[in-house]
Amino acid sequence: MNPVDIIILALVAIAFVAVCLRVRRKGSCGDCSSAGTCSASHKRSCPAMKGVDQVERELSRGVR
Amino acid sequence: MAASELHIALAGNPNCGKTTLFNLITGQNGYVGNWPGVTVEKKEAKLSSDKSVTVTDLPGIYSLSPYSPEEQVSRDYLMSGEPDAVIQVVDATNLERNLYLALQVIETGLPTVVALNMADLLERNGDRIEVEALSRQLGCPVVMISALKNTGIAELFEKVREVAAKKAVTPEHSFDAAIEEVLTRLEGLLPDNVPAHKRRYYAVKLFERDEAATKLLKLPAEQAAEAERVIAQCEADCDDDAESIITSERYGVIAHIVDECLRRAPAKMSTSEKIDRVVTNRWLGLPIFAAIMFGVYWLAISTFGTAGTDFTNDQIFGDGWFFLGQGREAYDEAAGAYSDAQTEIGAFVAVAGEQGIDISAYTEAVDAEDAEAANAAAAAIAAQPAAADIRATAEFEDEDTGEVTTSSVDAAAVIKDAAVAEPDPAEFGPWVPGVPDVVTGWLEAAGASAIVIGLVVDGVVAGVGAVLGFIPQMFVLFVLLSFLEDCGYMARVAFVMDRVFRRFGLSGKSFIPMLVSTGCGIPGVLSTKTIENEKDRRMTVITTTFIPCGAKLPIIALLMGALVNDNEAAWIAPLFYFLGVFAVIVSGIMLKKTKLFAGRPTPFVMELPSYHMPSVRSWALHVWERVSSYIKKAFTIIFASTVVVWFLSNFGVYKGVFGFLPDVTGGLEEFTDYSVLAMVSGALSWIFAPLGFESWQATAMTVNGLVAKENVVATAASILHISGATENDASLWTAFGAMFPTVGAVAAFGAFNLLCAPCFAAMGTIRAQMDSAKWTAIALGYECAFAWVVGLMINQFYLAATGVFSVWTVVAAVFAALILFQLFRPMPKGAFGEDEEPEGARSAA
Repeated sequence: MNPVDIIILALVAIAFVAVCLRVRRKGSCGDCSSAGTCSASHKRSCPAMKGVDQVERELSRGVR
Repeated sequence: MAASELHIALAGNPNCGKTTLFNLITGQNGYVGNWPGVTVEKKEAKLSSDKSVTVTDLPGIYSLSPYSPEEQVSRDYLMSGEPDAVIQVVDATNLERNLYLALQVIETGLPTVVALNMADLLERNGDRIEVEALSRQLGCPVVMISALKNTGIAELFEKVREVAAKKAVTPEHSFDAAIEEVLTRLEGLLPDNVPAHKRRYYAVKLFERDEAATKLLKLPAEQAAEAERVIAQCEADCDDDAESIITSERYGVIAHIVDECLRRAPAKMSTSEKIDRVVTNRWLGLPIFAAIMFGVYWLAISTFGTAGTDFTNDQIFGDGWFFLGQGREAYDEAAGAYSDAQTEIGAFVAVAGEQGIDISAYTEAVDAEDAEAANAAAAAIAAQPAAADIRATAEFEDEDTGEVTTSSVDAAAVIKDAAVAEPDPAEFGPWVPGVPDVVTGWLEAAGASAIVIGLVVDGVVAGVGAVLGFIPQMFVLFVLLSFLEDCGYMARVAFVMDRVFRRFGLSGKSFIPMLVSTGCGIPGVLSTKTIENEKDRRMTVITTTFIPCGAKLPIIALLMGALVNDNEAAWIAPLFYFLGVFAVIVSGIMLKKTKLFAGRPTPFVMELPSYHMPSVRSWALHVWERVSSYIKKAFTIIFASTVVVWFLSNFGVYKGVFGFLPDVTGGLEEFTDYSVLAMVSGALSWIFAPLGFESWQATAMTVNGLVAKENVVATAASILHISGATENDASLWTAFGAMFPTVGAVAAFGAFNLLCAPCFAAMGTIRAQMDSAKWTAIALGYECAFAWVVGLMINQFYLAATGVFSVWTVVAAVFAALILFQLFRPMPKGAFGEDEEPEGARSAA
């Protein structure tokens, strides 16, 4: 195994561990990759944080 | 009052334009976060034109009766003494409904100015409000504004400062004389410390038996008893309860005010109402919804999206492409000629081999992927005297029509064919090599070994690239779904679906999480938290992930590609969406007839907005949020999974030796069959044998799909690249399709993966939402069992249709009979409990 192999394998390993830590810390929610631990900036657009009633209200936006 | 102390509260119904006004006057551009069941926030900001004024945006509410957290928060703030004035925002186009809250706010005695918002729309409708008359009737200033067009704002604040200086307003509206008499008596019972301008408010609250307000009053026992006696007497006289009496009186006042102040244009049906007569029609609503969703999936997966995905998968993450297509035609012609020549050579060499001519040099060159040497060997074979009389038949299949043509090949033709060199695309135009070729080139140039090149190219690039390849289809899908949400159509669908859901005991409210789940099942599951009825909520959690989320879209596209090679069967992709809807409905009906979920559906009331063109910004934001999270997942969880899959499928035990299989097996073509992944998956594959996909590869895809659903495609791509299958097949999907014995098995694989337990993240969300290990097990167990049974029926009935029967055919038939029995048996007695007959959905449009 030559040095370039070791460097590439190390990079893949670091990236792999980083992903594992991120998933452990934040979950892997499909909508914002943050699941229930999302930051304030994401709360406004996350249906999970809003609940059915708020989503329903947004769907009803612009009632005449 | 010092200007620096001015606090203004913004109150109003939802959708009255309150937040638009708040953003306009404060220069904010934020979202006002009020979400029931979690927390309710009010937002504060300084007035742009006068930083000494603080404006507080309260949650949108319909009344000050504290039935909901928003109403509680709004009332508490208004009665806290903090606001110096209230701007009561009223949607001028909906005066009757908005005045209910306005009357209550005015009754509090707080200095109030009524802002009649959407004045421009009122004018457009041809209606007119007599502002002066309304102001007299309400006893407070009324100003016409348009928050959207920034008109009337200066006058509004002029009035606000005026009323704030007065400290209070006196409600001018009065109820029926008998009620007013009771209220006057109640006012007399209030403690002396209640200020004059608030005495009427507290009298009304006392009459309504409002617990919170009564507690604040701390009435002595004697006065409390007297008040109760007066109220009870009034209730007996009116034959109604106190709260209803006040509500009815308020609506009486509103009717009078509207009669006096609103001049309506001759009634005519709006465009939205005309459209709604069709799309929410009892009989047409569902077929129209089905047709629209068919169109959405057809456009996303079979037309526009496919062109992009084909380009991404086959060219960017495939062989490469010509910039702007320059040189493509000439190259395709040359590639076709080369392919035909190779077909003729192959046919001739095969016959030569059968006639005893040594063809080993040719086969070795082919195995070594040395095209030049293979051609030279073929020419040498053809040049032999023994080959002179050979006549072989080459078969050519037209890719578009599937038509097969033949041609006779002799030695002379083969010598000619051997001279046809493999065309180099770079010679035909501006050629951009595919990502795998570029990465391979870099790694080879850097001197990386085969194992590292394999990990990066066949593992990471193939897996992540396969998932990224579906972005064009996903983009088109979300553009269309976001449009339907933003233009107001999806609100109609919730209303239409209420009729369907109600039949099996769920309310239209349960449709909203399913709508959310088209993006991702996790927010869909979590959003159920505000469904009050526990049984409804649990059932919605169980069924909502049946709806295909964004991550399942690549599976659908892959299945579509594997099942059909042309666009003639464009219904395949939409079919999988409807499979999800079908699973929801069937499960709903079956589960509702069990004791666990029996109960009346919650009444569902929803306002239907006017149809409108969505703003490009919010539309783009919706699409970007969904597509960006998909990309984010590809580079995180999918990347990690492909690394694991690559190691598991490249390392294993061969003849008792564990190691890197391409080396350990000595280059055996099917080396992945000895991999750890094959061993582990093979041990589980018996579960799927009756469903027709017992191969370890299909099992591995299914199991990896539990990590993230995109992994089904990523794993397929990795396994196919590692095994070299994609080298023989033009597309990922044709190579994928070749892994299954029948079309029925492909469809069963798709059905199982779309309906079984969702990804780990969604499972965790279900656990959090259910807050019970038992209910989580029930949810996941039901999903997997239902998916298995559906897959079993698809495969076995397909086999039965082709004349293949087995014991599993009988099992599938028994399951089908049980499902039909549960679907069509009458609802058990008491399934709806002892509640009253439920109300149907109400459109408040």
